[in-house]
Amino acid sequence: MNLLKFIELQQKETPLHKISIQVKISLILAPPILVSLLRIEPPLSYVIYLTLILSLEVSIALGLKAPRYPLDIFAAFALLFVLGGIVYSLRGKSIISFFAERKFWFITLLYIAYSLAFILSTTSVEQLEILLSKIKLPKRWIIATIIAYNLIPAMYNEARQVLMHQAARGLQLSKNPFIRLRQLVALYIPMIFVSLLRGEYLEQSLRARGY
Amino acid sequence: MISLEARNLTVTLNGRAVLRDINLGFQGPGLYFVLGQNGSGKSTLLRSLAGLIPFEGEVLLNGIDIRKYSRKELSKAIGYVWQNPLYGFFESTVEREIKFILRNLDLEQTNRFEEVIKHFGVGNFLKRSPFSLSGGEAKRVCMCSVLVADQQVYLLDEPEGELDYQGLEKLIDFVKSESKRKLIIIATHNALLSYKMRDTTERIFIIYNGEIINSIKPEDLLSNNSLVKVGIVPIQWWLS
Ligand SMILES: Nc1ncnc2c1ncn2[C@@H]1O[C@H](COP(=O)(O)OP(=O)(O)OP(=O)(O)O)[C@@H](O)[C@H]1O
Ligand SMILES: [Mg+2]
Repeated sequence: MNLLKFIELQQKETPLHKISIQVKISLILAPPILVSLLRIEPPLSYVIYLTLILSLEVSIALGLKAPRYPLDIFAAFALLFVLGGIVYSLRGKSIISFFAERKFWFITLLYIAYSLAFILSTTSVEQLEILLSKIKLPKRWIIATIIAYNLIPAMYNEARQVLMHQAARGLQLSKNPFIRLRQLVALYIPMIFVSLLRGEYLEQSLRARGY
Repeated sequence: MISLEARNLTVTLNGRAVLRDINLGFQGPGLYFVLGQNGSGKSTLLRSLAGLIPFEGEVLLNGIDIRKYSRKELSKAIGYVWQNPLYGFFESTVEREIKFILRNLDLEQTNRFEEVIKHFGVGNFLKRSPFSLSGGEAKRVCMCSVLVADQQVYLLDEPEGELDYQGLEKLIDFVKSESKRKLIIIATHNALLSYKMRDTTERIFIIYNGEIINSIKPEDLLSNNSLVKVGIVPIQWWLS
């Protein structure tokens, strides 16, 4: 499961990457606003959302040529939902009623997740920068946003580097999900430390360049 | 005899062919150099030889496809020392960083541990965080953190980087003596290092733009004037 796949997809050049960020955001915000303004009720609202989710899935899978990515996102949210159900049932209520009551949540969350994945996968730092300067955000804030936006891929690459150099020293991630989780935790905790240190370097280099 | 061989090795990263159809054979024990300018594909070559990144074609270790080895078996046989030490560190102390590979490969701690620590002079900062080290100190710890496992093949990615006079001497000593019983491949852009070690070097391969374009005998290094065309600083330049 690789939810951070968008970092790699950002570097691609597909027609979807050419759509302006304003258009993407409006396209994604319009349906929920319309649904609530026009008071569209289930089941029609479900149909609308599911259609939107499906088209986002298809755009990511085919448009961005990342067929596994929508599946990974779906699996993550299904897992979250099931965990929620289990927590719920620990409090003495039936798991079935949880799923029945919360299905709209699930659909909404999934819609948000796919929208985010789609926007993040297709928006380069440059596009973001242009948008932020159009809305006349102060320069310091723009730089801060860009750093934050860049930091995610930086940390992702860093984690991959550490993982590769551990593999060089014989670390093999287990197929057993529990052992794998333990191994990854053992990796990610030091990674937090590493990224703090990176943050310090970054701060120095920014200050050296007059930020 | 130790052998490492690349056959039609091609590596594509994010849609770019970074290595193209490389055919190379290394026979050990012995020392080899891969010389090339920045971005020519040296690190990518070493990473694929170490089985760390996906590639097309074949890499054979002692005649067997490296994809047939498990990760642990491969790491027991091939020691890859990466270029930028800080990118691979993750432990809380230098000592733990160096012992990580032993723990991981279920190897006993032998006197090899004391040997490398003493040789690379890292004994004084065993209890420090690897992230607090200077560039050259980190490089030496990085060497120890891999080579303590005593593999039969060493892939050293720009090992001379950041090292001072003493560090260089230690490195050269180490490589010279170990190359009597191991296969060592050094990737660097620095022709001076290969010149300095010409007496113990079997062969120098020139990599340019993802392809091996030439192979030269160490004794011809000084007289070869085509190096500058592929972005390698000629030795005479340093002296002029
Ligand atoms: N993940 C990646 N995606 C795309 N291109 C990459 C990636 N990693 C490396 N490259 C490119 O592949 C080429 C070879 O990189 P490599 O790191 O192997 O060069 P090198 O010879 O080791 O250079 P140096 O002397 O600077 O260490 C470079 O042009 C680099 O930009
Ligand atoms: Mg390199």
